[in-house]
Amino acid sequence: MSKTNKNKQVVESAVSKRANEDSSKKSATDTRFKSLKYYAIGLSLIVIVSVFVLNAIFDGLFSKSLTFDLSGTAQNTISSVTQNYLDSLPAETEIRIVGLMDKPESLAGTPYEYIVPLLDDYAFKSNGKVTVEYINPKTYPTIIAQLDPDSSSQISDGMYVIKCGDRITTLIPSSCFTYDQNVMAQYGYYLPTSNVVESSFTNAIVAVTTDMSNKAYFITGLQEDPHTSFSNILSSLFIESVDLPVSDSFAIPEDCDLLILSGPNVDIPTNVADALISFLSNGGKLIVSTDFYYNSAEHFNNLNRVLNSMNLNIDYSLISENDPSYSLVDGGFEFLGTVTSDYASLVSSPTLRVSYARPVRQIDSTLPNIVVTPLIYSTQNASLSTVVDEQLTSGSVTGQFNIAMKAVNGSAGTVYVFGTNNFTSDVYISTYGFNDANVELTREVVRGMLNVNSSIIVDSKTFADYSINDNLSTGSGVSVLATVFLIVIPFGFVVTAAVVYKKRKNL
Amino acid sequence: MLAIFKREFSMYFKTASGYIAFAIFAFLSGYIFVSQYASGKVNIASEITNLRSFFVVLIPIVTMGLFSEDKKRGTEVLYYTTPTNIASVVIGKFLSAMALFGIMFINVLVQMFITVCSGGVIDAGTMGAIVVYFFLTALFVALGLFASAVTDSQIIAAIFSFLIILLIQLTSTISALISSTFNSFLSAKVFNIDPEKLSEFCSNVEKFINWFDPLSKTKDFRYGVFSISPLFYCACIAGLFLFLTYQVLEKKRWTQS
Amino acid sequence: MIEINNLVKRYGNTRAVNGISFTVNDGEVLGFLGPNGAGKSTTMNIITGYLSSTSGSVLVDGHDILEDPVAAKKNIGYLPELPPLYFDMTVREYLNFVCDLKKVPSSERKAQINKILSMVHITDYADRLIGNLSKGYKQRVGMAQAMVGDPKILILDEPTVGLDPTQIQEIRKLIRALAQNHTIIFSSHILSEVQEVCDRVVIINNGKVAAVQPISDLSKKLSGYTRLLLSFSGPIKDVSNALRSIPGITSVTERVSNVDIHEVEISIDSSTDVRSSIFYTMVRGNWPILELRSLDPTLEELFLSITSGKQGGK
Repeated sequence: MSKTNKNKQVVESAVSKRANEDSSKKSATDTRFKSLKYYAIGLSLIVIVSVFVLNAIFDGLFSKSLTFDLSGTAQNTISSVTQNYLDSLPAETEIRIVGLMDKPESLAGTPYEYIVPLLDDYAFKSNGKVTVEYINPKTYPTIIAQLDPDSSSQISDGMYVIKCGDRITTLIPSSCFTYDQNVMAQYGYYLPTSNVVESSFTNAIVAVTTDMSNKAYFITGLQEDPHTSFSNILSSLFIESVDLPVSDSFAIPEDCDLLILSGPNVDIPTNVADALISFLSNGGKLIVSTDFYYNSAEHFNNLNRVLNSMNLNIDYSLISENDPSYSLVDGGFEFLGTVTSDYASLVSSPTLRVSYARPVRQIDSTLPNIVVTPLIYSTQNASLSTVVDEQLTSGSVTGQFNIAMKAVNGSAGTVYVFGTNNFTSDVYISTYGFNDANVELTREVVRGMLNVNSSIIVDSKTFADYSINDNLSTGSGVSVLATVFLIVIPFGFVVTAAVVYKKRKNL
Repeated sequence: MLAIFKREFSMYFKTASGYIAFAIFAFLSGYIFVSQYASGKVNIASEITNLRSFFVVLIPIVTMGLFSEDKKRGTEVLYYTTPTNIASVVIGKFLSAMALFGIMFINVLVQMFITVCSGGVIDAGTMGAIVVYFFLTALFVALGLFASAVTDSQIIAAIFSFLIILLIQLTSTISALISSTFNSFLSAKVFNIDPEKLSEFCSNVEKFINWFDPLSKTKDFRYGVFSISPLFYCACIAGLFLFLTYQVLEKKRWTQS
Repeated sequence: MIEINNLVKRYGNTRAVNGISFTVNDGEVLGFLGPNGAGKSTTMNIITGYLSSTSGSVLVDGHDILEDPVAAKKNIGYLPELPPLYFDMTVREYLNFVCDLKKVPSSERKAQINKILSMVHITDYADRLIGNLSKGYKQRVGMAQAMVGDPKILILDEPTVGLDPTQIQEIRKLIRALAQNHTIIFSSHILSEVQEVCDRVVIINNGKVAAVQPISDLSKKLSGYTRLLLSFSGPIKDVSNALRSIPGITSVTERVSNVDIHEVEISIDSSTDVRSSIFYTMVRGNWPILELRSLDPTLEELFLSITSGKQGGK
């Protein structure tokens, strides 16, 4: 506004100056043109100013209410979950999101295509609670020290820092997407499968603004699968994730609400097994998952000692599903497991994807007061294979096997055992995103164990897929299109132009 | 209004300039489309958004002569001395240029049809990009019309509208530049300004400048996020330039030179 | 039909039009006479609404051109000094466009255009590109444009300038034909043209009305003003002296001299006919007369005569 006002002053002073000169020289008769002139200039200025004022008002009043995200996945709009959370924060909350980079300009084709606009939306819809800045530490080296005076986080270039008061957390842009881990493993490049920018940032905001109600420890140091996605899921349930490495002095902290053994590829040491047994007998909660893939030589004897104390066992064999309507690959190592009726209502699909699963079995035992419930099972036609002399050998036994089971003891100690990593590992979750039915089950399991009622669950967003049929983009169709659109049509217009011009020129 | 529209519109086709504009547009859009098609992914929204950057050339071609030629040839006398309202002259010329852009766009519609036939997707983002395309076209055509009305030289009109459209298209870059210049200048120790406040100030400066930028206001449409107020803004600015064009022409009534 | 009242038009500090007032009666052909730069075109531009006046008013058929421009302009067909032609249109396209502008009903359009085309004799050129026509034909298209919509008033700014004599005759004939049912204002800097075509003449000079007179008065004024051109063979000094002695001759100015053929301009201060005296004087001196004719007064001289009240020239 000040800009236009300034213009106005300049013009007005020029006008009045000219008017003074005029009036001193001219007779009184020529006032009409002057009034027309003032009217025209005045009106123009009023219109210019009022256009901008009107738009500022309109923008202020309606920009939010008259914005409609009609895209299928609402990539660049915060969801109602985030919106409600932001609204629930006190008005004086100040959340700074600082991108440690120059503001990305050309977004198309980069991760920022989904990050920058969405962050703008956070800032836009938070009523000033969220501010988004881009500060390049190369230009302002002091910024990192400013953001994190006591160097509690490892902050470096290219990260986003989310800060509220003294609490600080970071995100790297590439972690805001899930990737196809199979493609990664096979071809070595990142193929994004879904957009979890909102989920990541909202979780980060939750982490710096809300006290986590629970604490989960991941036992690490067992060549286990990565669990970043699982941590994200936990934080959306207000559960803080902490790593707990195995060691000779391994001890389970007092504040441990949930212990997770996610996809270990080597067995746990004896001291850890002992600690776990006493943890469970004192009412502790444990989630165990493993499979039969990178660890096909591992029998997990120590782990089974822990599970046996809960009447469960993970067997040393690999399930193959022989029912063709459930099997997903040749050999049946990936298949659809059926959810038991106890849990079916909690997930959106009656069958869940299972791969390279070990069977989970209830053992005969005289231990009292232990209730064992199956979660996921195969069909009657499944068979088991084992490794004999480093060769995978299929057994002759066919039957129904459990892939996941739950056991609760007398002191309310609970263990969930998954014979597959498809419910806990990044390898699976990152490939299929947070909206997957498997993730729903994981979430419900955690919820049930810790009695979590509140949660901030932001769905991952699938990308818009603009692919056309593969064979068309490589076939001769492209040359036809190129000929038509690059030569025939433009050239046709040029020729028409020449013909028309020539024809009329000589009329 | 209809008289002016009919003449201007038909002259685009009788003087071949319309066909030249068609040829340029068809080639550019065809190039983007075919290269997208060959890559296996066709996003019409991004094609349309890319096409907008050629406004800088297309708009001057279409609008440069609309009023400047009349002034040069003296044919503007007709508008002033026949029982015609100057406002209807402005609107007639504006609509003729808009109609030309509308017809040009048929090329993209054909491409959309091909995309759908090839199993591609036309989504809300595409529709958003189309809506924005026409609102921005209206804005820039009005601007070009204004440029054409202030001079009697087609070349000057073309350069004038070229520069302004370029400026508008670079606004977000310029605003970032201004903001970072401010930041680096004021962050010198001499000024002793709290860096947090400074960065807030700079981002506000950037936001303020970008508020005027029709492109950054409408950038979310291509992702399927529709919003009324940016469209209202574009329409208002287009209307404003038409109004100013009208005032420039009406100036004859009071000008003394 | 048209009332012009104290019209002033300023360009910066100069006044191109400085207090012009006159009236044009219904059905008359008004000549608008003045040298180049006298303010003719400016005045016409103001009357037609192309320019606005600094002060003063123009009423066209009772409508003020500034306050009620649409109603006023309906009555006017205007041919400016530079005809407003689109060179890239054909004549017919162009006239159709003008019909659109003047809101000629589409039912009458075709007939009207054909009538106008034949009136200005360009029917054969109707489908030619205006840019390809010669100057004379362009001028006719300009005339045609002014006639579209059959306005009551035609305002023609120097319609004959730059045309060859045949074309000038045609345009004059056309104006005379149009005069039967139109009010016409017609500007020119050629006196004879105005005399030939107009009923009344407004003479302006330096932005002011120098005279408003019926054409007959002008002729009277002009007839009292005489100059003769004499060319002869003989000694220039003797002849000059002999001529100066004739009563009624005020001055003899030598204009062209060859070895023995001379041309002199003779000014006469009264309406006495001195031609026979000149003849006898020349016969007596045995100087053969090669040519003797009266000279048309120039516009400049006319102004001088009007403004100074004197008759006679240099």
